[in-house]
Amino acid sequence: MSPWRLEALRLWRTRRLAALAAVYVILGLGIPVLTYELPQLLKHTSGGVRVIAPPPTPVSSLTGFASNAAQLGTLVLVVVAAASLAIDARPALAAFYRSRTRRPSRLLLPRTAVLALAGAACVAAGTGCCWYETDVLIGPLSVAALSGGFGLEILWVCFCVAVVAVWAGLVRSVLAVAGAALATLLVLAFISSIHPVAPWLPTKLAASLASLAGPHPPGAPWRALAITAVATAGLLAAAGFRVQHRAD
Amino acid sequence: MSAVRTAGLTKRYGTVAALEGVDLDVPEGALFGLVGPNGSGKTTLLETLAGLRRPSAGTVTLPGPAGVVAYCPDVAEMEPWLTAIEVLDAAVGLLGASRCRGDLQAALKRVGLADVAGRRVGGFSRGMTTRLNIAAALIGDPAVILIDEPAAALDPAGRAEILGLVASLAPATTVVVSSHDLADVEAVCDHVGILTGGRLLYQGPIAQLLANAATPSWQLVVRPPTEPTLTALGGSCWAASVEQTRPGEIEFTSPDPEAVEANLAGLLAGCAARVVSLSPMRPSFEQIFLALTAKAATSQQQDAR
Repeated sequence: MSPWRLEALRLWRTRRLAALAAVYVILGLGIPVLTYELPQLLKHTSGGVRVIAPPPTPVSSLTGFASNAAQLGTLVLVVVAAASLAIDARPALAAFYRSRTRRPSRLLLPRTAVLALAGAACVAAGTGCCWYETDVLIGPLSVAALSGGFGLEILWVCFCVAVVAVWAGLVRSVLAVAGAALATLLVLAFISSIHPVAPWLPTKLAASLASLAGPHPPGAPWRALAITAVATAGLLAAAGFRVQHRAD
Repeated sequence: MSAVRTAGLTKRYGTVAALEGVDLDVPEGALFGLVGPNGSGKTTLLETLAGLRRPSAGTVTLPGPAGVVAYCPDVAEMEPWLTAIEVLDAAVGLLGASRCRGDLQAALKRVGLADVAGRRVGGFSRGMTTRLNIAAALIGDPAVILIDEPAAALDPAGRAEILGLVASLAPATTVVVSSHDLADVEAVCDHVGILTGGRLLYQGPIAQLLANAATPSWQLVVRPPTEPTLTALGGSCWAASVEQTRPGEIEFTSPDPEAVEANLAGLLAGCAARVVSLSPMRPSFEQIFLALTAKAATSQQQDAR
């Protein structure tokens, strides 16, 4: 059994893939319905307060999906990735893997790649669901913009996996890895509120799906894209180095 | 020819030395028992040999590249969502090799797990997990297999099974097995290394250890009164130490066994002893181990002062 198949089995049999897919698919199916029904729902709320919701648009549906996926989806992705990438969380299991290769950094490649692929597949499934339901209920979306945004979301998924991988080389337990990775992403999100640096940060990619499909698309966030690609490669290299040199 | 050799192997955690200048030499095909009290450095030594820990100083010489040394930790753990046969398949895959299903089945059969090949290992008992771990080590055809405390926390039947399995591995594979149970090591191993406080006190064949450490001694059982016999033995020039251990039981040592053989019968006749039995005594492996470790502890205390 190749390490690649082993990692695919890990995601499948531990039901981590199902958990990740469920989040994106539920959001993809639920948000367009919620967006479509929101004016009706608000109309029926009583209590003497009249709330008027704007009419549903394809972009508002996609924005809702993208922002929820960027938060809840990323949270689940980080936890799933931490569970897979914390190689040294259980010493006896770590011995099983590490004693079978002189280059433990090689353990990391299939794990990160399979996780990134799984994350991309789940984002694709969620985006596909959102696109279909939005198209049926509200109106058409720009497929070209959607594809571009989806590509940037994939890069965000790879970046998140790389952040988890580097923390897995620094701390041991799954909880610590997940916590540290989430804290890192939260710090990035906080920094992105500072206007001058925001276009450069990977967080720019997290919600790019909605902004690219909007009525006034800002164009591809090339700076964030380049920074994220370089940072992802750098983080993966650092993670490999840490895993390789962790024997103490 | 050596299968595993270390030179001046030292491992420190901060100021604490887990291993101190260990020069290990495990002969090819040996079943080498590594014994020592808890905290003596056995696991650290095995993990260092397996490449899981980096030595602070010294060198480790192994017979070849990755895969030639397999390591079985004391508490084996495998992915609970894999079946037994998938664990072996994954172990082979991690080594970058491949085996047909028949080979995997044969490995499971060797450790007595052929019937549960398709069962997920999450429900395995500790004994089954240990056996599967040994199978996962053997499937890569290692030249050396390092097994840490294989029979720890197993019931007597499980111990016997695992020790039988370990004993069957040599001489085709060089086996280094650690244990704090001296009886287990004496029962299955042909060579032994005694480790205490991170230092290797002895290494070599067990038989040689027993032979070298033995100051010839005898147990003499006589009918009361024993005082005349004790006095006569104590007064002889060839008996080194004479002690009455229980009423009627006398133990004595002598550096000159031939003198004992020549003179003991005459001495006993001279004091009209009524002899019930006379038997030579061999110190047990446990006695030698305790003597060696106690001596090392005393020496370390003196050094500390």
